[in-house]
Amino acid sequence: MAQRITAAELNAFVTPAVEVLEKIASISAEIGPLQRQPASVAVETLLVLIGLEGDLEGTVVFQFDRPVLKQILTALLGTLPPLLNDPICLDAMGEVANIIAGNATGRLEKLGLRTTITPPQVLTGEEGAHWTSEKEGVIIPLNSASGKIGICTFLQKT
Amino acid sequence: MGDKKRILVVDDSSFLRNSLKKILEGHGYEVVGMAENGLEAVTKYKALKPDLVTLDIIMPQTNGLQALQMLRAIDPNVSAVMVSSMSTKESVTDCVKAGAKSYILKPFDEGKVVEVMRKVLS
Repeated sequence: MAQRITAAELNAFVTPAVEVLEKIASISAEIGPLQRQPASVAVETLLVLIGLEGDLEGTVVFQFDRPVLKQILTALLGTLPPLLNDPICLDAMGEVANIIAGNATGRLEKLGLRTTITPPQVLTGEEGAHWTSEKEGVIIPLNSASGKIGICTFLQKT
Repeated sequence: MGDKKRILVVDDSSFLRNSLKKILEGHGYEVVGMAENGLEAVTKYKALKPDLVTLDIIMPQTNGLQALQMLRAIDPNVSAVMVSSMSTKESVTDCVKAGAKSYILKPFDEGKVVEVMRKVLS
């Protein structure tokens, strides 16, 4: 029977997220209280989905406030393209999520969980992005001066 | 310049490919080609015969580890450097066992990339 993920296992995503955001975009982020995440995730910008496979299975969904998104993209690309759904923006944000999730696998390994990740999938649309899980998840909120980053985890142990 | 070391860059992210290309070319290497998945990497490796190939691991279709195994079958002396976000010891061990010369963890900095290239190509 599948088990729920623990707080320690969720925390495996926090340090990589904070470190990666600081390194690539000089964003200082702090974790807020973990909250339940409804099965439906919707934002006005874009969502990045990363699948986890192995001892921990499911999807991690990254969401970014628009100012944070702009700060990350400006740092990565040098200049901000006119449209946030420009393919280069989607590709760069997919890579940011890929790096955070990939770095988290090492921390999960230290907790005894063997996992791997799938390539990122970026969702966007004229009216924002929307994704629905089969079950509710847990959101790890990260707060920064530029806005919020949400790491929505829909994971279970196998 | 004919003595430039020739490198094939493989990553499914165009942003990453271009970032690596910029770093490598800025330090005197020639990026002779780029590929976005393992199969394309094998095809381009055969055609271009580079001195070194950088391989992402998490890619659609054929991943970097599978591509490395295919490259080793073609060229047992292939110089491959894995460039990945996967930070598990298992991932590093698997790549070294498969014949990778080095492993660069994303996010990387310019200094680390250049240090590894110099070491592997020396």
